[in-house]
Amino acid sequence: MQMSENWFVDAPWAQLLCSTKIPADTLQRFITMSDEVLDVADGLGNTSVIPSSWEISPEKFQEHDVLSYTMEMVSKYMNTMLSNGNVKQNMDNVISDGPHTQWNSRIITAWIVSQKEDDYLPVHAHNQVTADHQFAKISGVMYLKLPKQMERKLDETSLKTGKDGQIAFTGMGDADPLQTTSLYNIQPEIGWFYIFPSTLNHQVYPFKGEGERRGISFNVDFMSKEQLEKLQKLQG
Amino acid sequence: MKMGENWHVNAPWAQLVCSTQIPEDKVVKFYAISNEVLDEAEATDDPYGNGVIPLPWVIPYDKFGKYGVTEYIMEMIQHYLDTILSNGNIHSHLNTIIPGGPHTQWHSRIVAAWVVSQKENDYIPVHTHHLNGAHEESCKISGILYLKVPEQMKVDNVDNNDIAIRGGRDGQILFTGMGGVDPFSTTMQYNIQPEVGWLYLFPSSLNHQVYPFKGEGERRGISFNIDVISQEQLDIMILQNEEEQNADE
Repeated sequence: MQMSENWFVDAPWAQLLCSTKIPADTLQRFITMSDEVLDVADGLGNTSVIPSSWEISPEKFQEHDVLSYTMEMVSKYMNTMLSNGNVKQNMDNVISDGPHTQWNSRIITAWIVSQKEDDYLPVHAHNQVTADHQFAKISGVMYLKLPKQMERKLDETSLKTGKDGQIAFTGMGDADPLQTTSLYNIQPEIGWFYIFPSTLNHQVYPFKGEGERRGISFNVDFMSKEQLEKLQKLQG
Repeated sequence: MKMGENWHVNAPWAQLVCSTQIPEDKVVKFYAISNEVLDEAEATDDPYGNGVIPLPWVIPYDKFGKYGVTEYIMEMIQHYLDTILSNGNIHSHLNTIIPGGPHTQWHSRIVAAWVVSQKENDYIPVHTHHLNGAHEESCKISGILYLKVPEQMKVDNVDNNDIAIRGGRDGQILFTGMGGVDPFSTTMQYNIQPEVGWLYLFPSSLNHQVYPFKGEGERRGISFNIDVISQEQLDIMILQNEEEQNADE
């Protein structure tokens, strides 16, 4: 991965977490979409301390004009991952019908997470195969609303030890005692968008007080042009 | 780690390999150092120690200064440090686990350096640099740079098909990183075809090895280990020394 002029950083053994700030107008459209989904689904709320998720149909992304932005960011993630050491060669090797020249992605599931006081999300990953054999390979989460008490400046130590309402990613590796750590806590900020491999474990800590911590999560499957062509050929 | 406008990449659980192309005038100087070291050592050292693994040729500390490359090495180490400190929460991690934090400034120094000169069939088995014997100094960052590559291994002369980069080839260096948990977007093995003039920096804990090659020629590189200490750690050490001295008096 080229970071700057004549400086390359590679770690092909690492699950990469990419992040970007959503433009203000696009963010507003995501918020409107989430309001609409929550309004329609009203009454299907919590049954335990883990909040239920509110499903968003992929068509909603199109309807609210946020699909192309989402897919553009997923494509950027793909390009980053494919430039990480020999990951492109790994994909050509482990996925049949390579070398793969073009990747096509699509959202297979999306949902709103609306958390209130004491709600938490236990450790999980998203790399499950769905009933119709779709395979989540990339996942994303973006933040749309936060309780006032969580919008504080973060002290540095809490990044390592964890605080209320943070998302904690737990990556595999952590072999170097000084230069690596398996735990990465992130203080959510409205308008920030995180993209990561669906295998990356993560969780959300509960918080106290008024307010809502709202985000959109989604899973993406991808398939190469060569895989698609083979599939089409098999289907006649 | 900022990778572009409004695009950040982080993986604080990962051992990072950083690489850069050395300016040509510096490559010449490193090459001269290696020639001098090999010339001086030729008459006295056994290059194999009765095995197929070539022994390292130690570079005395003053050689880098004599040839004016110390500053370049330390500049690249600083760049590497800045990269790891911007990787997710590594900065706060270091402040938490190393006493004396928060740490505001880091000092580095070369604790060991050596020339590796490989000929046909020579190989270097899997190893790291951070678990040294009791007589050696501890290190945290390691580096390797390439000065000579046999003709048959040069990138232009290699059938550089994609599988080879994953599957391994003669003369390549192979880094084996921890992780590799995602079936698509990660792989534990990273083979690199050596190219003259390229410098690689990595944590001393990262496993690596070199495959043998066939035919004429020499595969020559310089390896080194770096130790890092913060200004705050140094301050504590100075204070402790002063207290011990006062107690002795």
